[in-house]
Amino acid sequence: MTNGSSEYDIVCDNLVRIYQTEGVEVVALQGLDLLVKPGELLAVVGASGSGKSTLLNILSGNDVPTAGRATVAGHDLLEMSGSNRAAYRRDVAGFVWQQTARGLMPFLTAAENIALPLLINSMSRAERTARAHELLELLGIAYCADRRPKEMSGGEQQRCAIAVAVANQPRVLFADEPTGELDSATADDVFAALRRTNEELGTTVVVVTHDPGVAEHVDRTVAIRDGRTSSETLRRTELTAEGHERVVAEEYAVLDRAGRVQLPREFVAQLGLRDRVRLELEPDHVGLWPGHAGQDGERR
Amino acid sequence: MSIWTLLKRGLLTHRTAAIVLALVVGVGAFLGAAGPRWIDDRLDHTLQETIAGSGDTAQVSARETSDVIPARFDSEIEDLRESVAPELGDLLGAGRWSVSTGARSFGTLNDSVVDDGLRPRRLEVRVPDALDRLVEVVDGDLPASVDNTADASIIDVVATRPVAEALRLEIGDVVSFERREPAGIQAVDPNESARTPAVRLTGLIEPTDPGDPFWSDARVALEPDLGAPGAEPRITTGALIGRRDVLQPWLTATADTVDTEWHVAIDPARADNSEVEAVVAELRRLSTATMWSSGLVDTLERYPAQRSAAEGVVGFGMISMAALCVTLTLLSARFLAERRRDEALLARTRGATSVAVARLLVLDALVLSVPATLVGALAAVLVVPGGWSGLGTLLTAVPAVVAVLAVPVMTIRAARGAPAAADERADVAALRPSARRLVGEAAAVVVAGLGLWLAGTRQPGAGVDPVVSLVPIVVAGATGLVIFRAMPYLLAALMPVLRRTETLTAFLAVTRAARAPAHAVLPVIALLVAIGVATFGGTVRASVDDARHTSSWNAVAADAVVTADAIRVDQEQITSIPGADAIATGTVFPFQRPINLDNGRATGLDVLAVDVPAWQEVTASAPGRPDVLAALSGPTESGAPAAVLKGRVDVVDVGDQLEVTLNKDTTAVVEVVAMFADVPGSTSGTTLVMPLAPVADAAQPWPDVMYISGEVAAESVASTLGIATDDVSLRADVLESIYGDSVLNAVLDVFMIVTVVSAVLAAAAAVMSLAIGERVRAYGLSVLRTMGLTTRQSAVLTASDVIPVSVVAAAAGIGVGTGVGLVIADALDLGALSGALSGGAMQAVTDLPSAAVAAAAVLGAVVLGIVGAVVSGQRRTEVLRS
Repeated sequence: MTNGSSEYDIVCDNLVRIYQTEGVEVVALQGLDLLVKPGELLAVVGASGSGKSTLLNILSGNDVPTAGRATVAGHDLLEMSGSNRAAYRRDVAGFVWQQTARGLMPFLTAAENIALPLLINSMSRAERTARAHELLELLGIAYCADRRPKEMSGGEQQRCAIAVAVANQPRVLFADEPTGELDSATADDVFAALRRTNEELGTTVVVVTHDPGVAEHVDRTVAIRDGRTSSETLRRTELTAEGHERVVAEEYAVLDRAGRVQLPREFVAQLGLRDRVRLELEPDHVGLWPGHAGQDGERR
Repeated sequence: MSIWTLLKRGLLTHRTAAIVLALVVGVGAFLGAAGPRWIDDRLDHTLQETIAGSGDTAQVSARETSDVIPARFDSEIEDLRESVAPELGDLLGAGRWSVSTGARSFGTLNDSVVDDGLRPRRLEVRVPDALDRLVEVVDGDLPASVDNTADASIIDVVATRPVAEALRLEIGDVVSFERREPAGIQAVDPNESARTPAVRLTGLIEPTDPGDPFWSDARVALEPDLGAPGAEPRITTGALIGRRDVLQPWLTATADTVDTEWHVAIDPARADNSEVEAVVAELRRLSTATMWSSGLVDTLERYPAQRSAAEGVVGFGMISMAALCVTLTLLSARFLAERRRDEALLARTRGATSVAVARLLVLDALVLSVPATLVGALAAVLVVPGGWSGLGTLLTAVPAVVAVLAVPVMTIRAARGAPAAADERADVAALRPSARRLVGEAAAVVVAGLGLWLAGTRQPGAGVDPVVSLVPIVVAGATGLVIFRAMPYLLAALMPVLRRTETLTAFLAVTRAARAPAHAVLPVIALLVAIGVATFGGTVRASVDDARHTSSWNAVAADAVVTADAIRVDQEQITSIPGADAIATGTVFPFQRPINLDNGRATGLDVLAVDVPAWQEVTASAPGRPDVLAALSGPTESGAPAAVLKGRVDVVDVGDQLEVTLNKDTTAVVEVVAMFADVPGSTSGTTLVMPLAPVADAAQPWPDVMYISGEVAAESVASTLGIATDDVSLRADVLESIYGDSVLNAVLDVFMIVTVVSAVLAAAAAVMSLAIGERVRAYGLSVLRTMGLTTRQSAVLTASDVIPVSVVAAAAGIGVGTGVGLVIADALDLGALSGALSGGAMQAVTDLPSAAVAAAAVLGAVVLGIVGAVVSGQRRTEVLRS
């Protein structure tokens, strides 16, 4: 089931997800908006409980939103039937777990694990074998082809899991804290693998993490706070006057379709903003001042 | 922590696992309490029915002859009663007693001729303990008192009308007892006339209760014994009945001896196994002493053997059921332990010692298992009649004790490692078992083999034998271990083939089973035990069924056997018997004297010559040739025709050659190949059964014996042959009698129910053990689902995962159940269970179709349960969130 524009691989519009946990209602996502273009390498960051894993589960087809709209590669995630959802997970969305060995069958070798989704997709044996070895080469773990997960390091396992996730050439790869259990050097290897996947296979990659340092590895970082996207950091590479490459990162607040903006927490704290703020429209920007009485008086 | 908190915690945290444990303990307690109660009650009830059905024969009588000392009369009676075992007295109660005296010769004063003087005869004067309650007067009066004015040796008596008529007595007549030696009537000394015993008939009576054991004694029969049928009627025994208070003066006057007798009916309601065993043992003792007993021994003599055989097989069922209950409890304890592992881990990280955690878990298990045990036991008491026994109490408590011990031990063990490592530990253990583990498993296999060998050497009739009872389960468990170790290597051989296929499920299932078999070990063993137990039950049942048919064939050696003195009908008439398919005839040559060629001695016996080839045709539909015919059909060492001997003769042994001369000029030599206690078709005593062919010339044109195959009716056979219906014996009647044995049927019912319950418990254990692996299985599925595995594929994959393991377990279970059944059939005393007490050991037979059906049923239940759980689980959660 596909619809919508092909301009974006991921469209989330006012996405809401409410859980019932032991009688308690938990609002994990409360009107989240997100747009991701094809071929982007995106990180979703946020504190624990901010809703980023919920978002990833929804986008990967493992959970269903309560309200709003979510489409991935034109697939409406609210309207999908069970069989369509399985096909979506098979062909459109790849998934990498936080636990390095989680995405792998412990009794299969690396090559067999990579061939498994291809087998699910009824691909021929020759194609399976060729594709598995291609991915093993791409991710730099060809030497692990005949090893079982227990015989591989954490980084190797996670790269193998990435290979498994992209075996069926999905449009989007979702990774849930893929480096959460790895040391920094190994984490760099894994991110390199994700970037290679993104660049060489053209797969849109969405990485969820609570580690702000991840931003160094991706082009765009979306921060989620209290179930909503709060800000985005865009990274680009520039040449300095001396001809050196320089990475420039700029953080933006996200403006939703209703015109709402989440101010960064440190801005709020530093200016003591609470309850109400005063806005002033300037020719090229919007000015914002604390709105409590004392300050109001001073401004007046 | 308060009880209420514990209760809440026990019931509200990890509710499913807690409920499963409570349920298993409760069901185990119920079965433990109900099983012994129901089985004892069922067998005793059947015994009581048997006793009630045996009517007058279910009584005991004892008698002792002594010189009477009237003053000690009461103590004589008491001594008699005390001479039997207390158990007998307890069972039988006070009973009835009587005293009798009489004479071997007598004459009537009314000149009736009642005896020809050629045979012994006895006229009894019997004095029961309560005449007034025992009889009703139909004519005349009850005896009043001693006739003091005339002669103290004359007493008043009453008699039944048949006795009075046989003695040609009328009311008022006097019978004098004449002292006479066997050689002839002795002249009565006139001086002794006052001491001549005599009785006077005052009335005719009928018994108030004809069922009173007093009347069932043949010597107090309501009708007199008139001698042999067909001969001139004469009285050999007849009883006149007097009042107790006339006894002492009469005995004083006559100085005669008396027989004191005590006889009682067995109250079926009070008969249970232990008492009947004591009674039978006591009656056997009494029957060899001076006392005398009734037909009770005959009625019940089969019961102890059958009961013993029953206890053997039921013991197997009880022990296997208990073992399975314990296994199920262990599995459910492990189920709960896995759920509470994180909790225990958390407690340990916060500084709780193992002892403190164990104490909490013990209380936890107590909160769950004690109420469940009480409820189970209470339900058993309410639902199942019977009494408590030590075994019942033990079996009731076992599940709770096991749960209380297992929950803390398993939880603490599970919490020792990290959660992730705990998931994988089983695989490591399976692939690279420690040397200690391997030695332990090898020892278990050796012990199982040893147990099987020991069970095979056991003799029948030992009752509950723990070795025999445990062997099926132990062997099944050992076989499961062997399969568990061998299966990965077998499956690994399939993997290269499967790797080339496009079949996901088969590849994944076999690869997993070959490379990570730990998840399969418990289901394999539990399923194997389930199917093994069911198959074992089927083997025993089929063997008993086969033994029953074999018994019927041995008893009749045809569908019908006709035995008459010369069946004088034409051959055409013989062949026109309605329903007869084949007929074999035999001729009896009475009073022959064959000569034993080995020792030159002759012996007198009858010869039954049978057309053996025709007899073989008659028995073509039998599962095997009847023993007699098989012996007659076999080869002999000497080459002479085979013959068998019915009964035993001092001068003939097996292997001897006999020269048989019939009608002076027909001679044949036969070799005796076997001896039998009975041969169908032979009604006389010692009989030589031989083929007809060598002596056919001597045979008369009319057969004496006919063996018939086909669906024939006794009446049509009798009318066609012009003989009495009683001359026709049908195998169907014998079979009906065997199948109608209520004790045996009760035993088999009990056995089958216990077997079925055991199989159900084992199947539940299999499901439980699969449920334990559900987390790992669900995890594997969740990973695959992220790759796009559909619900249908998940179900197929789960089925593919479970089915190979289950099929292997089922096949092994059938093999184990059948093999163990064949090996230990003798120890289970199939002969006694088949109703053939004297036929020797019965051959066990297999029942593979039934075993396959049972295996398919258990297998189907398990697979459906697991696949259903997978599908419903996925529907319930809609999408995967793991």
